[in-house]
Amino acid sequence: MKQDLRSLVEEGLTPEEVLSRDAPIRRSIEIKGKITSEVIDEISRAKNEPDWMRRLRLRNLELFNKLPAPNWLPNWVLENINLEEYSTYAKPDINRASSWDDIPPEVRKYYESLNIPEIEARALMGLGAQLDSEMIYFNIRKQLEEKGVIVMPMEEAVQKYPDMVKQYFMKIFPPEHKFAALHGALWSGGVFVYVPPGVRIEAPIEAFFLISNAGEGQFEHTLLIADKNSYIHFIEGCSAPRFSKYSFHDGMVELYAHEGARIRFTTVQNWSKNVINFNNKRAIAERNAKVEWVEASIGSMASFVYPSTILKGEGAGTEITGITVANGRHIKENGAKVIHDAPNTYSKIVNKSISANGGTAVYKGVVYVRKGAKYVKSHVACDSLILDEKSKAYTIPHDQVFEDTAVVTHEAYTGRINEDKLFYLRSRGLSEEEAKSLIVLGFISDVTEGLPFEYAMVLNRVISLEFSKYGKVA
Amino acid sequence: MLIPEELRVKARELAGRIPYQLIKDSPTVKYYTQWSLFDNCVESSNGNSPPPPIELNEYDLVVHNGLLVKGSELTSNDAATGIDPSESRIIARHFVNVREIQSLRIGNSSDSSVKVMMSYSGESNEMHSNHVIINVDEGALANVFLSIIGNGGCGTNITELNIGDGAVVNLLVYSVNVDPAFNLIRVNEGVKAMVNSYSIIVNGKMTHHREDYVLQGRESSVNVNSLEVGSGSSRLDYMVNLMHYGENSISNSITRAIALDSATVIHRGFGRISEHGKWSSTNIEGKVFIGSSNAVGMSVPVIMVDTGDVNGARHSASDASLDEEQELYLRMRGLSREEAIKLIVYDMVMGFLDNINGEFTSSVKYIRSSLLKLLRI
Amino acid sequence: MAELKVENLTVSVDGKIIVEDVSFNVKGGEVLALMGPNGSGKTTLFMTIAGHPKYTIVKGRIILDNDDLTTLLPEERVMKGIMVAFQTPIAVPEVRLSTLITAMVNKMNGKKLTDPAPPSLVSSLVKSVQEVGLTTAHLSRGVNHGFSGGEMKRSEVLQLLMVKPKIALIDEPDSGLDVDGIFAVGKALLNLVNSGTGIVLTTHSARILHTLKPTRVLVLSKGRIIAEGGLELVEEIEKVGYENFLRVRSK
Repeated sequence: MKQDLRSLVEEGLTPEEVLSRDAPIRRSIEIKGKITSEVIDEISRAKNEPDWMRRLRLRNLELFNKLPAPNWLPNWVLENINLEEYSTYAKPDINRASSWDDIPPEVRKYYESLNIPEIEARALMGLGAQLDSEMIYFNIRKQLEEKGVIVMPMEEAVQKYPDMVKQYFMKIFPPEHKFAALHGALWSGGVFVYVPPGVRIEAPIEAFFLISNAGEGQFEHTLLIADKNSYIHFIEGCSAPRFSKYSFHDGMVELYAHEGARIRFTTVQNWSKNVINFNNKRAIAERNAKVEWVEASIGSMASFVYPSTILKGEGAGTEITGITVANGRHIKENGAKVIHDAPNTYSKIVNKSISANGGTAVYKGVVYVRKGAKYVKSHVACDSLILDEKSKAYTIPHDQVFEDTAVVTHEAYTGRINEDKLFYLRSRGLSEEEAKSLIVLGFISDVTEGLPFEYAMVLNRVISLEFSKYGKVA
Repeated sequence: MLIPEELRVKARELAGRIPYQLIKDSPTVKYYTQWSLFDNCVESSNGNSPPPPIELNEYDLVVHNGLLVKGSELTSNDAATGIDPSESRIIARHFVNVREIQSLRIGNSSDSSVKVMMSYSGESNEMHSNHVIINVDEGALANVFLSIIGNGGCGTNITELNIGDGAVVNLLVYSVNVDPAFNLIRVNEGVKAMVNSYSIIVNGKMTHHREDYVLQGRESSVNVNSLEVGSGSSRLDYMVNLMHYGENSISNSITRAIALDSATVIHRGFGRISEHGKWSSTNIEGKVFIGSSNAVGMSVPVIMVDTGDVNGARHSASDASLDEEQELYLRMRGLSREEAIKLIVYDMVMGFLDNINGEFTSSVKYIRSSLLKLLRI
Repeated sequence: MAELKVENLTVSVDGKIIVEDVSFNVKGGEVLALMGPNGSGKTTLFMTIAGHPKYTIVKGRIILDNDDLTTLLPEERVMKGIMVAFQTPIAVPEVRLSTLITAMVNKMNGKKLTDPAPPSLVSSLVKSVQEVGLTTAHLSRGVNHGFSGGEMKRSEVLQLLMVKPKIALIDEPDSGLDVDGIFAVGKALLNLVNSGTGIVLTTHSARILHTLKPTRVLVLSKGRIIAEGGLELVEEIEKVGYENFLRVRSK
């Protein structure tokens, strides 16, 4: 056993490293391929961008080349990145259409079992969304226009509202690390939303069905600005699994909640299993504003998403809720980062993870209370369910409190499904699979309760299927 | 016992090359331990060392500035270290600097109590290193009091405690620091071994105090109760690692920390259940009481579970001062906020000491008066 | 004999008036029972007299003997001789009950808070613990930490017994207690009264007043005193309930 310990220890590994990885060798990884400024120029030209955006892309490219690869990502993730491939795809005019017949029959059958309309299923399978021309969605757009709400593809906003975009674009999330810079250089697609002061949009805005290219995913940039005292619930992604050609996603979401505004941003991510999903998400909340992040991470081979909120104004608050499912040999990292920058701010983080069939679910979080941010209250609760002996769950939270008036608490539990509960359900006639699904659904119920009905329904169905025979197909 | 030459050579090569820590701790606080302060420390294994300012009679084994001062009749030459210098630059530097490794064995029949003092003193940038290995025989019952005291000057102090199958060890650790100190206590437990540990860590410009409890044997267990106190401008990075490699092992770590004046007090607890540690359970609790407006408290309670065949892993952490309601309640009992905080600090310390095993009565008495003086309560 | 005088007290919370124009006196050795339905302002009144910063005195004064307490800090009021027992006590796990009580008594006697308790204090504490129906085990636990509702009430009364303030304001000392508990606490408070403390108490059920017979009874409704008298008021409320009692009087 002592040998095992020694073999775990490589040069300069921190205790965390020693404790977390059995694969010993840690060498520095070179990312394959190169992106030239010519490629950037071409992208910018094709999108007809104003000069300032082109220059922003080039600045980000420079930073990308300078910054070191993040060494907190597993080696194999870095090894799977091929920049050449991305520059190619980022260029316009590449034929993205594919045919229904190319989709494997098991996949088609899977979608059928989800009971969603064929047209949506087609969109989900990446066959090119034609949905924005559908009538129902057209009406929603009209209603929003009447209220003065702006919802449009990001590229369009760069053209039509340059001043507003310039004010916020990558100012909320500057290129602090290599992948944020990569995103800044290659971004494409995504949604721009602006909600005027006092406007409350009660029904959630489902981006996927409103914006045609809000579905490609790879380097999408979403910027949402809620002006004073407004309210918006924005839903990104879809509960049902989505096929993606691209194997590396590096998206970004920037939210700005002005004084008294409330933003609820829900992401249900269910990418196909060839995807490495990386998303940079950050919100800034002004005085008395509230930002709620809901992050459900079901699909993808590996996922690294850490929604963050900077509580800039007094009385601001944030709630970050996450569900992470790691079913199969995947690594899913989901977390939360909250910076308490002002007095009387509060944060609540709830994270639930389920790992099975060799999956690894990881929670990484930081709650930072700056000196002077008086009377802060923060609570984090992380629960992990591990369904079998092959799967893993890690919880890595940091509470950093520089203010004595703060109350910052954290609790976490990791365990397996209670045998007694399982037996009880089986004694009521349910199979082991069905019983497990039911328990898993109960485990995440307090998160799914906040979702719009159709989303919750599909999500529940997806999760049940995950842990049944269809799960292997998705 | 002298350090094997090859180990020294290897350590020397690594000390110049490897980092203290490869990966940053967090995006916001890059390093909980400010390793740069250790760069100001200069290895000084040569030269005369002044006698330690302690009561030699109180201890069975005394090591000062790397040399054995008392207890040669207890030590032997047959132990080998299980610590690898490639773990970190600070450990590599330790192996370059340490003069000898003292090892002693507690057998089934021998006197079950041993009091060890590891001390060091010198100019503020002189670095001294102590290394003690204690092997506890299978089935033995041992009470170990370990005092790690720095009186000025940097220190690296490594203690290895190897506990044989079925042995039971009560461990009391008392450490007071001034200048940068790296203290590592690594406990390896065999089958059905049991450890009941109390740790009290006080002050220091930069104290990195780490306790590793490696539960290698199945059904081994550890219970750690810790008190961490930082006053003045101290910075304490206290880490408890509970590592389960044996099936059905149990661990429990409860840390109470107090941050006073402008001190920074950090509590890090790692509970790890590897695939080999099936059906184990771990519980980590940490509470940092922030006693003044310039004090800082940080908690990092980590759990890593590598298999679903577990009995559960939990942790809880909190960083807080007196909350509004509590403050008001105590004010309506006649106490001002300062008096309330003083009372809390007093009772957290006294309450902790009162709960320590009867085996350590005389040592606890000494710790009590030492603490009251240090904390001026 | 000490005397507490509350004169025309009007109290607001977040701009809303909760207590209006309340006046009463209580002397050492007396028992003043404050009755009233939930939400009538009893707790607000007590918290205001104790000095809780959330409550703003819009008008009126609080005088203890010759001291105007109206602008004093909560801990200063305690030193002057007035103490409040909470309706919902707060837990302070970091401090053991014995340590807190010793500190309180030490402070009253001008000693250092952490001075060890003299033997007389220890024996008095052991006796009082039994009087309120707790055990010495409770003394080694954090203040109110893991205590049941009833145990918290007994612990509050214990603190009063040890400090022996001039005037004690006790908010529902009987809630959470069974018949025996109410009897024990009532008796303990009676001893306190007989040793010179003046008590103002609110009660959930009037049972405790059988043991601790009130000198006077006040009835509060919507922040105002609407009735003053003796035990007969308590009997009437017991018989007809607050709604009818108040309806008769509001005519």
